[in-house]
Formats: sequence, structure tokens, C-alpha cells
Amino acid sequence: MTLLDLVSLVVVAANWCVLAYFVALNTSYLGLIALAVREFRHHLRRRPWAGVEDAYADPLTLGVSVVMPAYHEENTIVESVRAMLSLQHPRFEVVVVVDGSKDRTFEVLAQHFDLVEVPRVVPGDVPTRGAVRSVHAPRAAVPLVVVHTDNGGKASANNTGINAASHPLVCMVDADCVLDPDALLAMTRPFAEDPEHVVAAGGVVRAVNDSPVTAGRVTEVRMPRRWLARIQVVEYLRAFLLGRSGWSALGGLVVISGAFGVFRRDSVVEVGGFDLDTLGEDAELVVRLHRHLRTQRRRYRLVFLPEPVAWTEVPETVRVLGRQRRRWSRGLVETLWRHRAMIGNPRYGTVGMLALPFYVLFELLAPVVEIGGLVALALGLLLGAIDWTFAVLFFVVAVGYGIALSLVALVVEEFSFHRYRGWRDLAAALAATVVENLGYRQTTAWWRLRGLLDALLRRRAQWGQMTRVGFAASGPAADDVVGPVPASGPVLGPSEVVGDAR
Amino acid sequence: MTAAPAGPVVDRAVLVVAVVALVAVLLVLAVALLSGRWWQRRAAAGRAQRVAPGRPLLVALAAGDDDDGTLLDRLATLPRAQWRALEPVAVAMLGKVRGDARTALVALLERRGVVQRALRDARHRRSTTRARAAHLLGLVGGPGATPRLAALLGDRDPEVRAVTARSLGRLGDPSAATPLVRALVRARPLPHQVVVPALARIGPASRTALLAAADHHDPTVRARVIEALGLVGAVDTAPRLVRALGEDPAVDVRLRAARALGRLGAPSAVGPLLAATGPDEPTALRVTAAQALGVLGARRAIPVLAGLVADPHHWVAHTAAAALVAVGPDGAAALRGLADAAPGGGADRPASAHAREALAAAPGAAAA
Repeated sequence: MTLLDLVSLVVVAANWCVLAYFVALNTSYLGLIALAVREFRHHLRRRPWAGVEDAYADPLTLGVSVVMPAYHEENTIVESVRAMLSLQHPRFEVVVVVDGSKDRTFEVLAQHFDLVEVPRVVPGDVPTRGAVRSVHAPRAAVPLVVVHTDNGGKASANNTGINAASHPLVCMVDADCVLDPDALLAMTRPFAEDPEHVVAAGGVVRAVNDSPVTAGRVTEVRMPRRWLARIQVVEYLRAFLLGRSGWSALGGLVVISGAFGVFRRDSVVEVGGFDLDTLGEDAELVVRLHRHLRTQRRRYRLVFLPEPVAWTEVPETVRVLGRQRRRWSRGLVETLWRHRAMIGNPRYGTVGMLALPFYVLFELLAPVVEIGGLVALALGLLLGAIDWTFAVLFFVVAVGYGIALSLVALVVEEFSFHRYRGWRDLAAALAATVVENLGYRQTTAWWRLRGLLDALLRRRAQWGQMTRVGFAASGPAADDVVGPVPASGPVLGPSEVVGDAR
Repeated sequence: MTAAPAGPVVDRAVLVVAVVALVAVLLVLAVALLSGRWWQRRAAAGRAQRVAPGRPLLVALAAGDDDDGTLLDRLATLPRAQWRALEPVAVAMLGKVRGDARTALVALLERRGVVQRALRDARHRRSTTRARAAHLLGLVGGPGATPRLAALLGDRDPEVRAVTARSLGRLGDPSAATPLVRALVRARPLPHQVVVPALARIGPASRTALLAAADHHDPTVRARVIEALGLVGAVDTAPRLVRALGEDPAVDVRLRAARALGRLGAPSAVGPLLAATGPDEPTALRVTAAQALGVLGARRAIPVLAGLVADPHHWVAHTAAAALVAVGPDGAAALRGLADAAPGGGADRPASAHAREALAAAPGAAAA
């Protein structure tokens, strides 16, 4: 056997390994989808008698502060805030943190809502970077607070909003999101039903591109016109709606989108709020909550709700999408590295043994394998180790399973929430499942690979800093974590200690 | 050409089989998707068509336009298919109307045999059917509804139990208090957020059953019961709550006792609540007690609350300032004194800043 024979053999073996990897990846997702379907069935069956509107007559309804960090949002901020103020909930406020915007974000807010400066002591419960310049409220009785700060970044603005919140629950939303009208009622429901244990609830994020929005409401859900956005509709459906529902069913939810999630304020304060040095601060916070509560052996729950929806504009240009995916990939690396002690550690239950290893294997390494697989295929052809028929069959199997998975997601959506109602929408979605696997996935893999490299190349500076931060010192002691007194339920976060947290 | 591919024949055969299988799966999925869309649209159109004749009659009935009973007769004799489509609309409407409109809708549901069916369905083997029956019985009420619902509180399905508790609360029948309290304290309890509002709707009639459970060995259960006592407005249970505030070993029970005492408004609670704001107590209890004193409107608490506004802990100071506003004009006057003492406020004068913030949040108090 010559050296070339040996290389050819290795290349062929590598190709089979890549195929096995994709089969395992897609089968894992298929399992998560099956779990999600069970959750959806339960959710949809209970909808007629869920009693969501009872919150208005219920003396125990917990108040919620909607925290909106805003940076360079002068064109949309008024509409966004008006939309948030029109949400249904008996006891809520909107806290907008203008994070040192250099445009007129603050001025347009001040003008439209007739803001006046108010004396307000904003506590330093969680750390921030941007100092508070002033706090403002409308002259009229509108539940709005605008905190004007120096620029400190999104995580810092989130933390400022948490500090300024006057309700026991905080709902983190992006300033460019449009929420379903009953979003707050539904998202605070799990906290009411299991107040001793629920610490966070994640909501679904879907693409709103080209769907008409009137008075802060999505009046008709349509598929976007641009293919890049259409593909993301399918991608969000499979990965965010179905994937996270599946993880929630397993008790291993580790990502609650920063665009839409509700948290117990005291629990977030207890772990030190959003990390100021991580790009994926939303996922990092959730993993840190798991780590802290598991370490303390406390019984707790994080839940994911398939409804209601936060509608967001997804990137429509290759450049913006590329930047977003690089950022997400880098954030994932930083989070996983920071909490590497949890990976494969039975002390952290499903999160440590299942969810985090999954994210390492099938999210972190996916771009490496994807790009490596393409290179191996090309090399195999070049060396003559595989012929064209074999290569095409091989590629069709790898891509076909991906398409089948996306189709399964569409079928589940059709028989559950059925948001896209037109035949043209359906045709576009069907076509998007194919395009997603033929080009889009490979391109995003390249961006994710670059994000991974970004994180690795800056490892010394970034990760060294994180190591110094130290988890245990990130927040105050549990018995000293006090905030606004809730109208009902436990005043403090989860306190029930279990014998075996596994 | 170099070496032959490793096992090319076998490899290719495997891949061909996989491709064929995938194509078949993709076709099945595409057909499922398209037929699902077709079926959903057809079902929605059929439903709309069947509802159309009856909906205006139903709306007129709910609006009280049925002086001679004609509308009721026409709705009661609608063809079965039309009624099946209209029934969910009538049930949904029932939850939103009161008075004569409600009476008319209940009469319609009774004429169509819906209530009798719900009583039967409460024993159905499918949990969704039982939950739907419990929901309907809570909306309609009537003879036999409470006992049937009380039995459903022990259902094996947690969803059915939760719907049942809400329905019992909606009916407000005092005889449901004991089974509801039992549902609150058993080993796998119903969510307290479901049971406690139901007990609150029943009111002080729940007090005996709650008091019996107030000494439960599990602190979580005790905390829920104590909270419920405050919500049902059982003022005569204040001494029991005061005991829980002062003596219970579990902090959560003490916290909820403080909040319940504030809600009850019992003057005898002022002393124990003032003691609970002491510097040696847990911070959360100090905050909760300060808030309860504000809810109570206790003028006697003004000096203590004014002192707490200078507390180094943000939430103690913030809550005490807000409580002073809640106490009334005397509390606001004390706050104005604190605000005027150091008009600049700021980090070095936190008491002044908290006082100004509380006064600004209640403009009437600032102007007085």
C-alpha cells in the first residue's frame, strides 16, 4: 500500500465519519422535535381553559418590568415603546435604557412621551459599566421609565434595567421586537403556577420581515420576500421553537433568547446579572443560573413556552447575517469555556450530562465538521479515492436528511400553530427548506467557524479575564438578595433544597 | 488512478438505499404538509359556514333582545351540526357576560343538554374531556356542579385538577373551601396560584379549613396557608398570623405572614411588624414588614419608617419611603422633612434621595 493509498483510505474514512456525524446530529434534532410535539399537544389542548385572562382578576398576579435596552434606535423607538405599553397585563412597567446613544433616541422619546426628569435612586444590585446620567418618566400616568446612561454595551444596559426595575419579574426584550398582545400574561403564567421553583421562562422568536405591523401588532403573518430571511424563518422554527421546546421538556434548556425572556429579578441578582464580558450574555446567564442553583442543590425550573411570540427583523443581507453568526458562535465558545466544569459533570444533571455536551458536539464543532466534510469530499474526488457517483450520492444523503428535518419542522408547525396561512407562504417555506441545506448552511458554517477562531485567537486575554471573575463571587449571598416585594408567592427565589440535585 | 475506494460496491449500495429512503420520506412529508394545509382550510371554511346562521341569534340573545323567547327556541332547535360549531362560541361568551345575558346563555346550554353532558363528562376517561367539563361546570354552575367539581379535585391529571380549582373559585360556593384547602396541602399540591384565588373568592368561609392546616409540618405548605389567610380576609386570624411572624422557624412563612398582616389591616399587627423591621432580622423580612406597615396605614409606625429611610440597604430604605407615602399625610410630611434636610440628595445623602423619589412617585403627597 502506497502513501497515496493510505491517504485515500483516510479520506474515505473521514467522509464516512462526517456522514455519521450528520446522521447523529439530525437524529438528535429529530428526538428533540418529538419531545417538542408532545409539549405542543399539551399546550394546545389546555389553551381553551388555561385561564390566562384570569390574571386581571387575580390578586396574586406578579408585576413585571419590561426591560428594553436601546442604542441608536431613533427611527423605531417610539413605535416599539408604544407597542410595549399596549401589552395586556394588569401590573407592568416598561423600562427603556438609552445606552449612551449618539443619535436622537433619547430626544425623540422625551419629546413623544413628554418626559420629565424624576428623582430616582437606582440600586447597584447587579454590575454595570455605563453610569446613570438621569432617570425620566412621562408627565402623564404612563407606566414608563427611561434611564439615560453612558454607553456600556448591551449587557450593561440590561443590568441597568434590572437595577431600575420595580417589579419582581423582569422581561428582557430587544427594542426592535414586537410582542404578541398576550405575551406578558402568558410568559408570567409559569411563575404564578409554580412560584416556588420557576426562575425563568423563555419565549419564541420568529421573523417579522415583510409582515404588516400596525399599532405595535403583527396583523398578518407572511413569509418574507427575500430568500435569506425566508430561510431563517425555517431555521428559527426548527432550531429555536422546536429545539428549545425539546430541551425544555428534558429539563435542559440552556438558551433563553435575549430578545424575549422573563426572569425572577432576585434570582438574576443572586447570580450577578448579565455578564459584561461575554458576547452571548443571554445564554451565559441561563447556564450560570443552572450552575448556581445546581451547586446550591436547590429545586428550580426553567421553562420554554411555544407561544406567545416575539417578532423580530432577521438579517436580510449577507454582511449583517455573517456578523450575527460570528458573534453567536463566539458567544457560544465563551459560554462553554467559562462553564467547562459543568460539561459531562453529573452534578449538573441533564444540563451537564446532555445539553452542554450536545452544544459542544453539535453546535460548537458543527462548522468544523461541515467545512471539514466538504474538504474531505473534494480531496476524495481529487485523489480518486471516491468517484463522482459516490460523491453525489454521499452529498444527497447528507443534505437530504437535513431537508427532511426542516420539512418535519414545517409539518409540526402546520398542525400546531399554523401561523403562515397562505399557499404562497407554504410554497416559499418548502423551497426554503431546500435552499437552506444547499448553500445557506455551508455559508453559515463558514461564519461560525470564523467566530470560533475569533474566540480561540483571543483566548489568552478574554478567557484569562473570565477566569479571574470567578463564579462564586458574582453575586450577593442568597439570604441578602432582596428586591421589590412581590404581591404573592415566595418573597425570595427558590429555596427548597433537594437531597440529590441530579 | 490510485487505490480503489474502500468497499465501493457495498458503500454505494448503502448510499443508494439511503437516497431512495430519503426521497420517499421527503415525498411523504411534502404530501403531509400540503394535505394538512388543504384540510385545515377546508375545516375552517366549514366551521365558519356552520356558525354563520346561529351567531347573530346568539349575539342577540346575549344582548337581551329575546323578550318572547323566540331566539332561545330557534337556537335550541338549530340543526345538530350547526350547534356543535356554535357551542364553543356560546361557552366563550358565557365567561365574559353577567346578569340577564348570562342567565339567557345558561338557559340555552341547559336546553341543548350541554350541562347534563358536562356532568357526565366529568367522569370521562379522557383527561381533556374531563377538563372541558370542569371548565364548563364552573361557568354554568347549578345543582350538582360543586360536588362533582369537588370530586374532580382528586383527579389523577394535574391539568384537570387546576381547571377544577379555578371553576370552584368562580362558583364561590363555601362548601368547596375544605376540599380546596386539602388540595393546597396534600403531598402533590395544586399550584397555590390556582387554589388561593379560588379561596379568596369564597372569602372568610375558608378560614376554618385554612386554620386547621396552618400548623402543617411542611414550611412550604404553612407559607401558602398563611398567605391564603391574608387573602381571604379572615381578620380574626390575625393573632395566628402574628404568631407565625414572630415564631415560625421558616423565613418564608414569616415573610408571608408579614405580607398577610398588612393585607388584613389588623391594628394588633403594628407592634409585631415594627419589631420585624429591626436590624437583626433578615433583610427580606425588614423590607416586607416595612411594606406591610404602609399597607396598614399605621401612623404609629411613622418614626420607625422614617428611621428606616436612612437604612444603608437600598430596598429597606426605598420600601420604607414608599410606605410613608402610603401611611398618609403625616407620613408624607415626615418624608418632606427628610427631603428638605438635604435637598441635593445624591449618593452621600441617600435618605433625602429616597424621600424625594417617594414624594415624586405620589405627586399629591409632594404637593400637600
